[in-house]
Amino acid sequence: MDRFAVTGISHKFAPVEVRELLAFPAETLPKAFRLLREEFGIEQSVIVSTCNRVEIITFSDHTDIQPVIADFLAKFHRVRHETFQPHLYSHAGEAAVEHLLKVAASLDSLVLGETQILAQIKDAYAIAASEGATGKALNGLLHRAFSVAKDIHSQTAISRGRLSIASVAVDLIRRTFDDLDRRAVLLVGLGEMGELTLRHLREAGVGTVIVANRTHQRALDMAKTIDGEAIPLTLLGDYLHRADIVVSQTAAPGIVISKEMVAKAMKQRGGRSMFLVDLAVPRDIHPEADLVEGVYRYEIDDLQRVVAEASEARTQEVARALELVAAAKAEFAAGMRTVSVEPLLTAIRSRHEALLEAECHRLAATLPPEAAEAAREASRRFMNKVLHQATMVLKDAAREGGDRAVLQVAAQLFGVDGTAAGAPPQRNAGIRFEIGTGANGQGESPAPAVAAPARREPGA
Amino acid sequence: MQAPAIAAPVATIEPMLMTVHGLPEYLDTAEVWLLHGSVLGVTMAAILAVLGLFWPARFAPMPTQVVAALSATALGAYFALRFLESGAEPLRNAFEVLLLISLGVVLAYFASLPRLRRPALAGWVFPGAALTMFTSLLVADAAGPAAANTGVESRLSDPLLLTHILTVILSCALFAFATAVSMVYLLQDRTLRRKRHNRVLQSLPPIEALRGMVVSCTQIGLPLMTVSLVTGFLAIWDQIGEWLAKPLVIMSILMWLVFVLAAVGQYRGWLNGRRFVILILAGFVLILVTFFGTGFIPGKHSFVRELRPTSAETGTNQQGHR
Repeated sequence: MDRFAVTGISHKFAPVEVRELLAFPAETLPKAFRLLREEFGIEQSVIVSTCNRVEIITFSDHTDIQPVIADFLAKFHRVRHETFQPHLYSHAGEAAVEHLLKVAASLDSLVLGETQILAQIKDAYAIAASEGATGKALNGLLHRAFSVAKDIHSQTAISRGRLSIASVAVDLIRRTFDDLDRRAVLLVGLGEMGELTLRHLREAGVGTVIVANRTHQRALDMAKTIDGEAIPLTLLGDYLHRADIVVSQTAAPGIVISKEMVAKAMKQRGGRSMFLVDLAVPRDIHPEADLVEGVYRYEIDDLQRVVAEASEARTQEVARALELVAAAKAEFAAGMRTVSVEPLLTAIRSRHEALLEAECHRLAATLPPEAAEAAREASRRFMNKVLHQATMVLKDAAREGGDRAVLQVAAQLFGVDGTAAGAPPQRNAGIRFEIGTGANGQGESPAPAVAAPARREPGA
Repeated sequence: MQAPAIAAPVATIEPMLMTVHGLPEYLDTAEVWLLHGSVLGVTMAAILAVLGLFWPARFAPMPTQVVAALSATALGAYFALRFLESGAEPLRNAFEVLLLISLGVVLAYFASLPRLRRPALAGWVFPGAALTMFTSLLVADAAGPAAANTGVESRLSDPLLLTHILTVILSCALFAFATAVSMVYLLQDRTLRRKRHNRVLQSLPPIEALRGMVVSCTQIGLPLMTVSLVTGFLAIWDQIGEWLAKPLVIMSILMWLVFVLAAVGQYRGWLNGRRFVILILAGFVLILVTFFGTGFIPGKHSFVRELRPTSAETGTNQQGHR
């Protein structure tokens, strides 16, 4: 577990000027992975580079990864250490796992509960995998992070509700109309939020767009960019009945759409519902317009209240989400400990297989073939039964983080001892039946009946 | 149709079921089981659908729809068996009429799915269908032996009466479904007007789709209801003077007028949104009053028999056996 690390900068500690210095465009990632591997000895890494963070997830033998990554970033981006070092953070071991799980579940995001970060991490992982920069360890960790993020999003309300006025407006419109492609939206005025709402509606698939503005030329320009229709503001009353959705944000000092205009439009619409969004201050739409049957009106305060409620609801879910993260972290750590004992178990089994083969070979010389084969099968079954209990005990001991002395004694008992002679069992020494202790460092098991050499200095 | 040989447990349960709510004696074992299976199935579907409104992640719509579809199939099989058995009289009384209405409501839900695309509507529709089925079982006790049955008479040989009964059932089923949709409409309308989030209602169809569905049900249901009235009048043309004074006829005409008012008002544009939907609800209340209220008055459309001695007085059980 200590070999996992997450090092980088984020919106929490680094301003955008620093983040943009260390950003990794997609086309530079192959070169980055090569540099990490060849010059810094980091065989497994994933680089997550978004507008709010740059983080490098690694699995390596470096005991202190932060200066290594700092050197890498300085070299790759050709920047001085001082420009980003004060903002750089690093997590190792279980802290790294926990941080990654939180990031993937959007608990560390600028907008709590946003779902974009998970897709971004998945993309980063896919690129790293395609460049051969991942291995068994990082694969396991990333897949676990994806799974936990999905669970958190589905089991909590962390991503429920919208947190922008424009998206809230679109959500409410969807609760009024489902077939947006057959609906017409009338944009009155060219305010920033109105245009943003229109853009969201366009993305949602709204069909017809009509733009009305005091300056007709601006309306024409806007309509051209969105493939819509422009009308003079003076003809608003004549066109109102055509709109299912009205988004209004003008700079007018008073009411632009009166209750009578809405009532007249509804008569012409044959009862079909109409949704009015008033984003202007002072208001453009008469407050009593929604007293007309079939009309729904939301003004800026209403939308902001919905946003605040959604934000509050998400915040209340953080505790639950953190519980899920903690449980996942503990489970992952237990799994890693269990995996770490696999080389020992493989070595024990291999030694016994070798002994079994030797004895069966001796028997084959004295027994008929059928009897020899029967003896081999019986011996194999006996061996499996004897080793089964030992396997379960060793896996349980590893999963529960038990004393490493248990593993050392087991190795000695079964004659696969890998410790240095006389060396006491220590945290980072002794029997090193862990992922990555093979000669190629890629997490593969050591050769049968051979204990893997320790990669770290005792006591490190 | 004779039932196949039944195992001892079934033989024990069946009489218990028959005595709980006194099903008509002309039902055989297969029909009893199909009937109870469909009632249980629709009830289970209703419970699952309501749970799905509050916990959509845990109670997905598919199992609800499967259970409802199987129940509808069982009920359809029940009616098929009844038709095969009786030859010409699948409908005897209010008990089976209500069952058919329940079936119609469930089928209307499935027919609406391609348009509304919100399976969560089942949480509002299926409880109504289950309630209608339970009501049918409650009135089944009054459906007694066929010989003494003075409930709704159905003769397939008389096309006028057949058309009358079938159009009544279809229009009632459609308006029952429209009522469930109208209630959801009113809830969505209230939520949108009060500008308060409601997680349960977010899974329901958009309000304009609901309005459109109620309009469609009215556009189909009203002509059916009109046909049922006309055929009913034609069937009793010889005695029309006598019939016009009956509460059933008066209530039927009133009920029809309400729906006509709703349809015309919606079409002309002076009855929109909540007012239109509330009028549909009022019309359905009139359907209930017409069907149940007048049904308790002895007569040709009554689903209680003429006043008769009770079982205790005659020493017979509910099936008419000593």
